[in-house]
Amino acid sequence: MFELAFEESSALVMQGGSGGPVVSMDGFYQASDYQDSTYQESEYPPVTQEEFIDEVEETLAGTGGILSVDDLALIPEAEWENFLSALLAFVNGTPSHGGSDQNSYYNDHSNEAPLGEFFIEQWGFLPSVQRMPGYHYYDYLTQDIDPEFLEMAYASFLGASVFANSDLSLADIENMPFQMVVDGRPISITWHSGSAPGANFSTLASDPDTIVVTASTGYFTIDTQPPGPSQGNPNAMDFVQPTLENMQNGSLRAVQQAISYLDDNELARQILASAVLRGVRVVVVTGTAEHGEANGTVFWNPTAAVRLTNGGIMSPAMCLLHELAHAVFGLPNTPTGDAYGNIEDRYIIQQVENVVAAALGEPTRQDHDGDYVFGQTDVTFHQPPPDLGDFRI
Amino acid sequence: MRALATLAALTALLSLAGVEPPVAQAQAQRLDLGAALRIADSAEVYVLSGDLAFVRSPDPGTVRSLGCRYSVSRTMPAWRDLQAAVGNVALRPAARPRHGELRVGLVLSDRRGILFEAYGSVPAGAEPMVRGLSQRRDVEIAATFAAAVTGFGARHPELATALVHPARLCPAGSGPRPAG
Repeated sequence: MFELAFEESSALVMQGGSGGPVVSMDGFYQASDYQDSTYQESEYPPVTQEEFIDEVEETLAGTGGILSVDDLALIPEAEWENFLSALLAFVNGTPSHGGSDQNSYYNDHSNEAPLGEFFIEQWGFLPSVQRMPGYHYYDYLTQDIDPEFLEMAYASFLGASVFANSDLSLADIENMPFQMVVDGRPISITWHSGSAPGANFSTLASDPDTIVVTASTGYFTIDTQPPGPSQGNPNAMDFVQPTLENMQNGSLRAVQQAISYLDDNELARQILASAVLRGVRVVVVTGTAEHGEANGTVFWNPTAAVRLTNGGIMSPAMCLLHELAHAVFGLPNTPTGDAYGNIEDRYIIQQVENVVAAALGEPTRQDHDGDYVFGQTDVTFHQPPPDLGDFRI
Repeated sequence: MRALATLAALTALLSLAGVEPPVAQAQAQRLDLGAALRIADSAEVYVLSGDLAFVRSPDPGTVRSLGCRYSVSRTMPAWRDLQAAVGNVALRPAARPRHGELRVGLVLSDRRGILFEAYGSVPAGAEPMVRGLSQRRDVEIAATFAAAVTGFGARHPELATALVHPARLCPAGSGPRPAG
């Protein structure tokens, strides 16, 4: 089973190598803050090291777990402070660029940055958002620091803290990858003895998705799993990728292809965005498994198109949209006794699916029927109903 | 060729005489739920959760693969309950296909294989008969079938079998009870 989770969860879970203890730090990691374009009115920046620790301790209260500055010995406190300072400098710093808009240190001639109410980290996975002029404000905000790198840096901070608290000998855990999930992104942290292969917070030459964190007697390597697309564009971040869980590359491509395809339509875009907001999860299924949705989880088979009763073929991507709409709308599933089957399906087919299908050149339908056509290799594959010409019975 | 012509003529004659041909008799016999219940060794009851939504209306395959499955054999005490619940459900060939999502199913088997299967939809209103499918044919089935099947599942949650698909939804607490 492969999963794609459009999750807003900021839960952080760390699990030791083989069945070790699980530490949950819900609400601790707030990756969205440094990307929030409304930060100027908010309490941004939210996290200093002390606040960091306070939040963790608050979360750990009653669990027996504790965390303090003294526990951060594996990353010298001064070094961490330097890192945070570098990270936050461009937020607090004096404007170095001109500009007439609210974001005065961003030279935005079209006066369109930042992206208003759009949180780039929320919607940046949509190509339509990436095409907006203000999108590149995000690049500026991160000052060419790969956000994925930032997350790994946070992970190293946390990982080192947990190791320091674990009462384990570093020799015992050498080369043993520990799995962490930070804001839905799987991250692996491994302790090594000996000389570090690079400077602190540098990336491995052999793997740009792995960073090195040095310590006095060895070093950590921290990498994301699966590797993010930042290898191709170190300043870009695919906002779908960070929330992948157990996703294989083929599934990821299919999901991205479907999203890009649907994103060409405004209504479909709204459904996608609503699904993200509601924390809808998408589980990619394979073989002859059907598309389905239950309780906010969509089961999507990228190879399954549907032949409609009019003979047209609806694409797997449109099937994804249909199921996402089920997850978004809270209409009753009361049977209607008509060809649509129930109230929600009638609404979705008439008010969403057919509207988007017509715009994207896909066939529409007037019922909830059809037969699966499995084995598609293109999630956008669709066919119009056969042209019967003047043939009449 | 001659044999086919003879069969066609025989069928026509029987039809004129008001006698159903052997094939139709067999179909009618297979539609007899009560008879199948008397000789079946085991049954599988399927209930497709109303929480599950689909791109297209669920069909029998959907009901079997994604419905909660309750398995019962003749030797179990629950068999008598199943007989009482569904034994008198009316079933008849549909004059024309009806609308309705198939959400419940009943499959009766003996050691040789499937004897009888029926799927039904949930009534939209107070209609006495709803859409059904039995022996791969469109039928009308008593609206009470859905309630009878669902009720059986609710009374015997311990008969729910292992969840093999992530979307197979069974009510909370379903599943085999621990031994002892």
